[in-house]
Amino acid sequence: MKEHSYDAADHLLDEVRALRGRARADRHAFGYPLVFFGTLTVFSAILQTIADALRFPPGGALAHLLPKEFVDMVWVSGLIAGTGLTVWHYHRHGYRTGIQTAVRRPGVLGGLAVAVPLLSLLLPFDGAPFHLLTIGLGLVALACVEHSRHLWIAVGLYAAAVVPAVASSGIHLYERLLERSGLDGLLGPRETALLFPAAVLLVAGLLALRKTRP
Amino acid sequence: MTHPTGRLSDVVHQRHRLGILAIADEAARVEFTYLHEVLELTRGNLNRHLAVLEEAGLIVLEKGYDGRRPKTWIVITDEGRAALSAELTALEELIRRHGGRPHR
Repeated sequence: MKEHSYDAADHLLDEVRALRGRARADRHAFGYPLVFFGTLTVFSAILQTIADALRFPPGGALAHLLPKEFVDMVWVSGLIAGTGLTVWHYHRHGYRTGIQTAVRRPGVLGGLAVAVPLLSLLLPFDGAPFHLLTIGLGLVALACVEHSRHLWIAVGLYAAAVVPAVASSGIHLYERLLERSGLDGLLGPRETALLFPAAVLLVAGLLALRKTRP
Repeated sequence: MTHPTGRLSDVVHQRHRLGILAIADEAARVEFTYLHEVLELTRGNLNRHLAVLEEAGLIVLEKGYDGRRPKTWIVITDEGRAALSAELTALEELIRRHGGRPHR
């Protein structure tokens, strides 16, 4: 039993690596959450643009039709619903494929429950930038449990897209980019800045869905 | 220093049992049918390997239902993770001694 040749050990390790890779690929299910949060970001940007447009002229009949609080409520409701749907989606995916991700690990949910309120106290952001950071934290938590290179790349690209979106100088950068591509004027400057992180989420999510086991 | 072969465990070293532990280590829990399909084992054989691993305390079996269908979920224990890690380290050491370059 214990007389092992180099070839046998090498072959065994190759098999283990292949099994791990297959199990990991079958377990991955982050496509839908990315698409959900990308869509939420785009929807909120459009809603914010409509709300801003309705505010003019000030005091007009439609000025109070879509208050800022309502847009914030859509964001928060979307984030809570998205988190719940993500947990449910992973549960369902695990039952269907027969291999479950530890997405309800107490450390992950507990870390998020502490980090999000803490950030809201420490960072000088509110509204959309804060919600983008909350999504970013959720993505990091998901990448930790998924052990996916693809998802870590998406997190990196998302972070690169969010930093300019939350910094006012970055908003001008995005505006200039849209001006050059002839797409400026569709949304307001703050809302335009949301489109880049949203695009990262949507593209990464759709690519992941193509690879996910049906 | 002990030769790496001396550190290989008879329970873990069997290739199907090593496969079960490697898959279970990648997940919160894994279902019997998934292992049956991926490892291409008969249900009887898989049951025997699971019994050996459970008796050694390396996995825990959780019985449940999906609607009316009974399901058996396999969860790796901390001892199981440690045994898998020790086995892989010993195999890598064995390859290193022969001049190979293992990587997990």
